[in-house]
Amino acid sequence: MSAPRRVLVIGSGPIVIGQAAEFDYAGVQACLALRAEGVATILVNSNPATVMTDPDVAGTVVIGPLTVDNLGRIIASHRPDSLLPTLGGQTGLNLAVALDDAGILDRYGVRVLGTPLAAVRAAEDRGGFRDLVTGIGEPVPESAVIDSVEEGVRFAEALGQPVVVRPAFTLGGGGGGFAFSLAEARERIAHGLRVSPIGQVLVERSLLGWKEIEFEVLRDSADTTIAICGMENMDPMGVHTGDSIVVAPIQTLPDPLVQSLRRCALKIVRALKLEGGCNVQLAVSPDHDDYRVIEVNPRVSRSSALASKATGYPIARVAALIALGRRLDQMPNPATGGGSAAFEPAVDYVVVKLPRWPFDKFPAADRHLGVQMKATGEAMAIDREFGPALLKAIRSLEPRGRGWLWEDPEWGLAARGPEDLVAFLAPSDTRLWRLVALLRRGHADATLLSAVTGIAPWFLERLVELVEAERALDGMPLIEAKRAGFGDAEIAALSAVPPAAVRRARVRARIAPSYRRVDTCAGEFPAETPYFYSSYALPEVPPPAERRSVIVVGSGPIRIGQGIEFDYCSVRAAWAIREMGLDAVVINNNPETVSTDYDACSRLYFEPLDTESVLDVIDHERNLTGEPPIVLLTFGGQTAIDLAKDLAYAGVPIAGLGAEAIETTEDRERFATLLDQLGLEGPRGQLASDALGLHAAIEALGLPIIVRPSWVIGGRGIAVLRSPGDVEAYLRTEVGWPLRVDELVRGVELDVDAIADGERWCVPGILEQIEPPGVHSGDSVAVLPPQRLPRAVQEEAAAVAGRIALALGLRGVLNVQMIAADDGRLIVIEANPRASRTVPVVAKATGRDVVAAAVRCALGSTLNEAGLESGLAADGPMVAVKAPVDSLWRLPGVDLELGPEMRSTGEVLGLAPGYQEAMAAALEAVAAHR
Amino acid sequence: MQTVSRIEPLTPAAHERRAFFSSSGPMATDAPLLHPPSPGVLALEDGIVQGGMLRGAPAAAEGDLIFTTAATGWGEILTDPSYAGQIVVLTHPMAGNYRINPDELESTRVHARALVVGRLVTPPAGPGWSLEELLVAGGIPAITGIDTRALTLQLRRGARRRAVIRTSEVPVLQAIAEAKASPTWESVDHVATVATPEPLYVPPKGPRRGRAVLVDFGVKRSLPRALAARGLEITVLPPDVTGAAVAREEPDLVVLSPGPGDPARMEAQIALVRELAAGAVAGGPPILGICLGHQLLALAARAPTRRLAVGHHGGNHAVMELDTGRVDIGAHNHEVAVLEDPALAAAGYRVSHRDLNDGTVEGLVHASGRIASVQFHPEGAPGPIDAARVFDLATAGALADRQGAFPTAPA
Repeated sequence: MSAPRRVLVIGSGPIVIGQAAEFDYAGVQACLALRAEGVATILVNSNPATVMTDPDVAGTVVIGPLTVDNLGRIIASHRPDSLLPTLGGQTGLNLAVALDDAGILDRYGVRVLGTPLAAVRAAEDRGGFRDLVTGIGEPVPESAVIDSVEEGVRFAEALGQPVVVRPAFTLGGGGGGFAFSLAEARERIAHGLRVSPIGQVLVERSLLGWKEIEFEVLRDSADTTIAICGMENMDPMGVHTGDSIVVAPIQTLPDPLVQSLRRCALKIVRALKLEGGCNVQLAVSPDHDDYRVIEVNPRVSRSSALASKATGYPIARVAALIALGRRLDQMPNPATGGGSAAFEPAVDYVVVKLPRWPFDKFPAADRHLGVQMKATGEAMAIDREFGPALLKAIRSLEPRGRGWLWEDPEWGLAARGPEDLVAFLAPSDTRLWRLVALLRRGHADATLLSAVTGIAPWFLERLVELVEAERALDGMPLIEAKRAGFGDAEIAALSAVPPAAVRRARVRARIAPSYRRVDTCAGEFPAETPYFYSSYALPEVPPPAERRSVIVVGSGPIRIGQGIEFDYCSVRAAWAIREMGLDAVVINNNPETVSTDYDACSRLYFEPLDTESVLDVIDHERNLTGEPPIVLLTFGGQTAIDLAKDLAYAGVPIAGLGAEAIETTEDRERFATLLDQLGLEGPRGQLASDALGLHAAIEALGLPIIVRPSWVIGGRGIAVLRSPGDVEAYLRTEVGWPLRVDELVRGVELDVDAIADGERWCVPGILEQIEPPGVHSGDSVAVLPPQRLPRAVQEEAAAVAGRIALALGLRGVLNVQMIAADDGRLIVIEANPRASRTVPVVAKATGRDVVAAAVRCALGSTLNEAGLESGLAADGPMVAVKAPVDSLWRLPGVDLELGPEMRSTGEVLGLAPGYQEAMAAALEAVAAHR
Repeated sequence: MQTVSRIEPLTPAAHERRAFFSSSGPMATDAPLLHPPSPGVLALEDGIVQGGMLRGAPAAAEGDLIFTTAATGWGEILTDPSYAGQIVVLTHPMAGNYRINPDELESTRVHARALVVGRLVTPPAGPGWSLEELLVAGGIPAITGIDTRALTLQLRRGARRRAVIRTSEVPVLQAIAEAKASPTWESVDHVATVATPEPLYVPPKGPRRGRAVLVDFGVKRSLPRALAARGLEITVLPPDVTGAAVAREEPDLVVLSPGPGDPARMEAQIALVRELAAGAVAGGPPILGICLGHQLLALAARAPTRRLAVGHHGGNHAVMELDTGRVDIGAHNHEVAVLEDPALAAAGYRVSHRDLNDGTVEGLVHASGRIASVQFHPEGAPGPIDAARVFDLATAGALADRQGAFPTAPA
């Protein structure tokens, strides 16, 4: 068999719930690994906000729809000899299977690398998989195909309850569900038989409440099979693992059981003859006497990204090399550089992953969690013990007031516990906080909570310890409070002092975290992985640091309004810094991403993105390099920008951007003043501090209006009010006074990204929004270059953005949203002194490394030195159409109407020489993910 | 305060010996009462000191520090005779998360001298003992609150390993001096403290297929269990047994067990193994050596062993079987390794297995096909049993043909 020379890699498309940045991470690792081996890669993806779609990563990049037709065309024109299907999530796998079914792979002689499609089919086919697993003597949940009620009840009786009833051939499993008693089972089965078009149901043993365990397994062509990481879900079976709190390594199972499960996982992967990475999910009975195989995912996944970050072992990179035919024993250990890649990481810390849900954006959504994933992102934290790791993970979620101490007053726990504990503790986004609140207020103990939730007592006992530490915190030596894991903000709240006072006390007492290396081997071998986490433990020998460091503050968990695009910006920024001969230091906590790949930077700190942790890293870097690090906040979205005030207060200079400039853009009154000074126009509007004020504003401006609170992200709290009815409805919601009330200007909305060096500016491209103003720009289809506006208007718009950048004293990148109004005015809506969602789109559409130019300017280069010419760049040969993709089918209860609140989770790009083709490509790409 | 610096030779009563393979050993009684924690200190001979809290038995301890990267399996580790004379450092910072089942114990007593941990967790209520209860029953202390990563990095970078655990009333300098003055691990005859003084019998599990002699240098329970599971009835013989006594058992297979201590000093055992090996090569019962048994085979062939700079203790190293290229993750627990030396080839051995991390010799096979040995632990406990086919091959090879190809040919 000849070695592959041209490999087609399929990406996963737009970010949707269940398929996020982990596939950009996997794709980037794989493409870089393949190209380092001298293999040409052809990458197809419709998602422009990805690092993998940059030509310096993937070689040949085709941005276009992920459909069989399009892939067939690409295969026909680019003639890859091989296809690597296991890096693009379920999307990639399904397309590979479809291409095979359509005979396209055969026709063009394209070989499938790594895991054979037969293995993919075997793993995905329910019945076939059952047979395979039982065939190697491993247990699956017992089930039977049932045609009559009596037969079904007899089976349910023999199994014991609860059981799951799944009617055959109903859409989305409709008509099925759990039965907790025999009577309920009879009812469910009878109903299921009625709704099933073929009068058939599957009755299956329910594993509700069993422990959920996952293994990430790698296997090569020589049958070497290793388990990279075992992970334990704190939430028992019944909650999707993407919605579960996940802990690594496995905490509550005895060694013989861990070994049995691990062995089972390896056996399955061997039986499937997979070559590459695989995720195996298992359920363990609460008494540890029994287990079942739940499912396998024969590809890299969100879990494998988590396992890679949790252990330091780059699963996707190694899986890609396995696909090329390399063997684990022949590759060096990816972390230590010696030994071999056939090695199971040992960790000497505890990892906690918390999901991030979009319910803050969708208050109407059903917040209960179940088998359907609802989280958009996740945060991971590492510390020596579970407690501090959990507290750090909570800080990493950036919960906006929902720290460890948060309780919802509506729970009414002040006087007594909830009447219905089971309902109160049903799986939801707030269950962790509910458990803590019950313990804190003494309404329940660990045993009761475990009985109600099925969460293993070990986890609840750790929560009890944290609650006890919280209780004893006032008066506790500060170092002990820090070792217990409490953040400065929590210590401050519990001791009734401002957070800055806690930091001052720490500085005085020289209480600072040490930074420990994630080395894959628990210290057994020397390792050079530049990957660190903080812990209040003994200091470790620091890594050598000879060059000045530039810190890129990342963007944390993916959420609606702050997605993968900021990871793209962070990674490109880190690469640009390294190219400039400086040390690129990244702080981030999202385990899915490229930016938390220690290969992407000089030093990676896996930390919360709050004032405390970022300042701690800055102090540590200063000690390491002997000079203050340069801090870049402009690439980590609003998360990073929000730190500006505190960092400035702490005396940390921010590259290219003063805290003053940020406040000017975020405080609408100050921004209006700036526009006045520049002779620019904002929308007519006024401030309303209460309902009376709002009515007065409406009187003055007329309807429709757009209302928004100051300091917003992704349009939260923003609304368009078109009628008096709308106004009344809005006033019934939790309004964040004071509100800015603006006229809703009719016209064409523009997204303008400008780069400035302090004296001159450049606009590499302008995006024209297709939807009318009032629809959030993240939800709008947009085109670059604008199609409806004459060049003169575009140049005027660019100049407006440039003048604002210069007026703000900005060196770096800025995004300005404006409306070319139907009446000829050019209205500036808002300016964000940071890289925005549109930066990757502009970069892909124009072929310019916008981020690198912004970094160079921020670090003191001129526009010319950064490779840009001043003014609005000339139109390139391509038209780009960006279209949003949402995940609302995952979130029952959310209405579908577009408005100023952003709803979409991801985007696709259509790229073509003409507008029509680009639009068609974008729409085709969207359709591929519906 | 009782000192467990020197362990008296084990002379078990008859019922205890039966218990060795059948029941729970120290866990046959009620769980012991716990003692309140008290401040203590861990002091290494070259002056490294960390303070912590003493838990477990109210005892001082001295021994050689070794670290294991296993995240689970504390019951197995503490009761494994191979840890005699050693203070075990757990690199994973949380220990004791689950209750220990009697089945997980590897012998009737705790052999490690002490446990060094970051955090000793009290497990949720339920059947079995907590790790701390096992420590009390075993008469050894744990020192908790230790930064075990810092300690591990110091050990990896060459810190000398003799250490003591003392209450904080003992001045630090005195503790360091006591560490320096304690007997070295290499100087103590640990095998004599852990091995059975008289023969024991273990019946096969299921139909009897053959008989093995297991020479006990420090047998852990999983080993006879693995052999019995393959239909072998097992006679466990003491470490001072003669070759003639082994032959009288007419075994199909002789298994040389793992055990504690430095094999280079075990002259009597080396002589015994030399005699057995010569017999095997001449057509006598074939031999399978494991861990210490493997090292003794090399020494019997006049090849040297060496104490590793950092011992292998954990369940994550890969071992390659060189003939087949097959790679398995193995359970490792050894301070000493066989050096590749011309003496091996001269005696007819070649290296059969290698550690993929550092190239350590992990197995030998004799040209006659009648002697094989592995450095790692195919029985796991704790750790993976991916390489359990070592037992399958040995059993099948030994039974297929008492004269025939053993055990290189897969069954």
